Amino acid sequence: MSQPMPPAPGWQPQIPMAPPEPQIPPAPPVPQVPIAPPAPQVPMPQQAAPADPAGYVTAPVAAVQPGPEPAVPLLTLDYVSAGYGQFRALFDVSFAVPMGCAVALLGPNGAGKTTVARVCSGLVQPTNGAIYLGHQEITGMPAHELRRLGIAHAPEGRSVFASLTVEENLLLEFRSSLGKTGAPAALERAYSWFPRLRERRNQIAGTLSGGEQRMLSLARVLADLPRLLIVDELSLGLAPIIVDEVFETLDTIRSQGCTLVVIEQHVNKALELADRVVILQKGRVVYDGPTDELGDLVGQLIPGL
Amino acid sequence: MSRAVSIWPASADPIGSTKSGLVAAGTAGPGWARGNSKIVNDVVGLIVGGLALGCVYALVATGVVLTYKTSAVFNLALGAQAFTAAAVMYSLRNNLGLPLILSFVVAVLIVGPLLGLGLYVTLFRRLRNVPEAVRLVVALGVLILLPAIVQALWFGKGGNRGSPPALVLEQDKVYAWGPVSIPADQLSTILFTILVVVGLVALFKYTNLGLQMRAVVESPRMVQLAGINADRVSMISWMLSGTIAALGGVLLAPLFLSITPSNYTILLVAAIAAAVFGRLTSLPLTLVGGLALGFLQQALSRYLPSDSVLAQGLRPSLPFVVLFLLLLFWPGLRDRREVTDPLAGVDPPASSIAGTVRASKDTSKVLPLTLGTVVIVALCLLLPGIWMYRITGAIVLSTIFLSFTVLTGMAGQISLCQAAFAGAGAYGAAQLANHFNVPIMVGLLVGGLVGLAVGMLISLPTLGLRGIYLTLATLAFTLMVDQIVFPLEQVGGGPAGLEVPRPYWSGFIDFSDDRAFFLLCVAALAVAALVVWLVRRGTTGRFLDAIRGSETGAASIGINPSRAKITAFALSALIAGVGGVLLSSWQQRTSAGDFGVGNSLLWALVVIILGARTIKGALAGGFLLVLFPELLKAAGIPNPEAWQGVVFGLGTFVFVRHPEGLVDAIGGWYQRHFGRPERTTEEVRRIVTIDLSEPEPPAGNGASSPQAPYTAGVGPLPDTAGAVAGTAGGGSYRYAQAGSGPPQPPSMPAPPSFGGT
Repeated sequence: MSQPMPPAPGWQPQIPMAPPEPQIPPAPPVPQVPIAPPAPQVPMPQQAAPADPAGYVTAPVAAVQPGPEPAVPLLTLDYVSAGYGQFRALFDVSFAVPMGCAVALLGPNGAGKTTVARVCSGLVQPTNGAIYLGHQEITGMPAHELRRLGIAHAPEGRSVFASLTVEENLLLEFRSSLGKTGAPAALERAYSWFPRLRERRNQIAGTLSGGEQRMLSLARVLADLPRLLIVDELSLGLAPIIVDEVFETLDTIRSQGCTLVVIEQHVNKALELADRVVILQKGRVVYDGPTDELGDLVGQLIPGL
Repeated sequence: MSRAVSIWPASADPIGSTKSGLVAAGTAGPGWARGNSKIVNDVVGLIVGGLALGCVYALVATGVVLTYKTSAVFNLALGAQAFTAAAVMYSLRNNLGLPLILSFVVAVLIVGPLLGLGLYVTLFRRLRNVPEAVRLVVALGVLILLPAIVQALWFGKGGNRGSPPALVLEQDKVYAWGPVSIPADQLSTILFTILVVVGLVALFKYTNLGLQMRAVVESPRMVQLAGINADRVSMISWMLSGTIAALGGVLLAPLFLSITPSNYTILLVAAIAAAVFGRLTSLPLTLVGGLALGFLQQALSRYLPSDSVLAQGLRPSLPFVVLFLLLLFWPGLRDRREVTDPLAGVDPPASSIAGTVRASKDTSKVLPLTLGTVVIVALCLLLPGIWMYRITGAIVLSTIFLSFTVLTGMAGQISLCQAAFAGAGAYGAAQLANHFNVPIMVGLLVGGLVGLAVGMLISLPTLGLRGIYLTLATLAFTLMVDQIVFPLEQVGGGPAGLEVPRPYWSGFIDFSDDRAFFLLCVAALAVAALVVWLVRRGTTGRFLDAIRGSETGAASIGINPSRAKITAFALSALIAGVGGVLLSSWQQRTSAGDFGVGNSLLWALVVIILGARTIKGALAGGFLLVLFPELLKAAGIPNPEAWQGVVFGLGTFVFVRHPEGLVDAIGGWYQRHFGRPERTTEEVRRIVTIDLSEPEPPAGNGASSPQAPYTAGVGPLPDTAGAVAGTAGGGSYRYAQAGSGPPQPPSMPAPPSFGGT
């Protein structure tokens, strides 16, 4: 696995090459309204703690501390419940993702992390509650519209189109977000970040190695940085050295202004990266707060750590 | 039986009834009869004729591949779409006298895509996450619905104003290059096919839309994550496939003397065979498959002796034979790499068509049920003769429909060859009665055994086929039997049919009277229903339940899926065989089409829509199918057969929302609105099970505020489901049915009867 990998430059986007952000313009409105927080923001996570019925550890809650964070978070989940068919996976999940932050979404297996990611990107519609992107309510919007609003989701597991070639995988994404004119440049950027993909451009994506498939799914997202990137178990099945590189990459794109929601099994890695942590258990938020205030709660909240 | 819907007239022979147009070289007269000097022309004519026919097959096959590739629906309705476009074209051109180009534009470029779009938006859009069986039944419904609508509204007798228009500027013109000469209509067919195939290949290879279409097949969810409206892409591909099917339909029309749905069902099966040859993915291979089938059929029509009955049957049914053999032996199909959707987990797992309800073990209802039946039967005896006769027919049909309850409801296999089983039994008994004087009473048993043998014959080779492929194999089998075997003098008695006496045995037993025969049929139905009920309650029923859930899982706990499936097939065929004997004895003769593919499709559709799982569903199906056309006739509606198809076809729209069957759905609705509040333990368990199998609706009402801490019923739950519903409060069963109560808390220990939450 590690053998075919290029050295670190292969993984790390070179910052000078990063494009001028096309999504920057929609961002500024957010700091412009620091005085009056909009209505949707009112039912914020404060209420989550008292409503917590099962006597979990009551978390220090996000909105209590004013801090340097912008007043309006980029993404707000407000009492979101969701499920699959008759099975209910999330119960009144509320948390906020501040602008420019990296939020780690942690929890044991089956806690609902992936469902939270799917709800945020519109793949799963919440049965109850609301989701806001900045001021805009995005509850119930389909995934492709959310992608156009700047929410990108790199799903768990193999997340490339196995029957298409590498280049077709990339073009599919770029043509829809950048148009036919912007696509070749984005393709070039993706290839310069991940030279390995250029070598394999005409290979069927299903025959790539696991690491290469991850590169591909990351390259699809990174060539045109979204406002919010949700990565679900990006390091799954990767060699440790490559995991490090993946996290460096995530750190880099955060420094470019991209807000991150990271779901990870490598808890320590995630905590190094993240500014804030949200811990889920059995479909409920049991902790939501800054990483430094977590302390050794993490051991209690995530069994087996 | 007499009320066969006219979607499949007895002799549908695409070659036999074609115009002379397919004989290309040596233009006038039978070119092949002119001796060896003409052999070159002969071969050329063969190639050209085969090419044209093969091109039409290939065209529709690309439509099949396209919809399968882009929306995972095996679109049986394409045949109906092709028929509709051809009928529209004919009406515009021949009936209204519009210019050819205008008719073409309307029929192919407007009606075609609109039909595809309409079907997608109203039906197939919701079907991506339902079991494949449901998709199949819906497609089947459309296959019956569309031609029925066309015939009911304006196209009742088919085209009777001259032959269908060919897509050529000059009719009957022949282009000749040296030894090769091609009639204009065949040339245009070939050119259109080349255009479409080249266009499609270019679309998939070089355009962004084609790229999106290919991506949508794999995972619509991931396409959405890329910022693309997957729904729009699917819509476009349905419009495209609709256009292609319409083009195929319009091109096929001039090859026949008239436009009938049966011709288009043949076209559909041939197209499916070509698509299967292309492993349902490869367009070039599909083209090759279609062409090969065209050549082969043309060659058979040329070189087989035309007087043998076998050849008569074999020529038109070649596509069915080919499809059947391909399904069994084509390695490309089995080795096909299923590209799985990485985001498949996003959508709720499909629940089995035959839900979770098990037979009630409550025996307290047996006595009232029996008494009620006896009273009703006694009342029926007082009816006037003609109604007595009709109700007998309904009961006979219900008996046959119980075979669906076993095979589709219990084993989860959608079989389209129940009519073949019934026919085998009926013809077997009739031949024995006519030639060896074997009384029909014995014939009943013999018929059942013959049906059983045929059932084994079909089930053994198809054991490895699953889902759609089994259904296609049974469809191909029915078509083969219907075209090749049943028309034989020694089997079905030729065009005249067979006399079938009422059961009678040398003075001791005499059921020739309508009333006596009615009682016999009631007894047969009761026995069949009892057998089905017992089997479902017993070990075999449990095994079949397990297999329906997961064949692999069942095998892993020591159930032999093959054995259980063969058992189901055998029992089903046995019941169908006995029912077939009764059916022919009820009519006192057999006639062509009684056990044809038209009835096979209609029967399957009616039973599955009404509820293949329950005995009630089979009963309702039998009565509806016999009595409904009588009501239509009584109401003075012209063309009742077509309207019957329309109504049953429209049933699919309801079925989409109630895959458990209309009878159960209506029962549930009635219970919700008028039912008693108190339930027996058994009924409560049933209701609770239904609740868990239904998706939870979004809790939009303010009453069940999510913030409100859940208090009711959090304590340790009793073991039995009945008691659970008891603790849930007064409106317990309503709550369970509607599923709109407060959400279950996550920490609640699940009672064992619920399974894991």
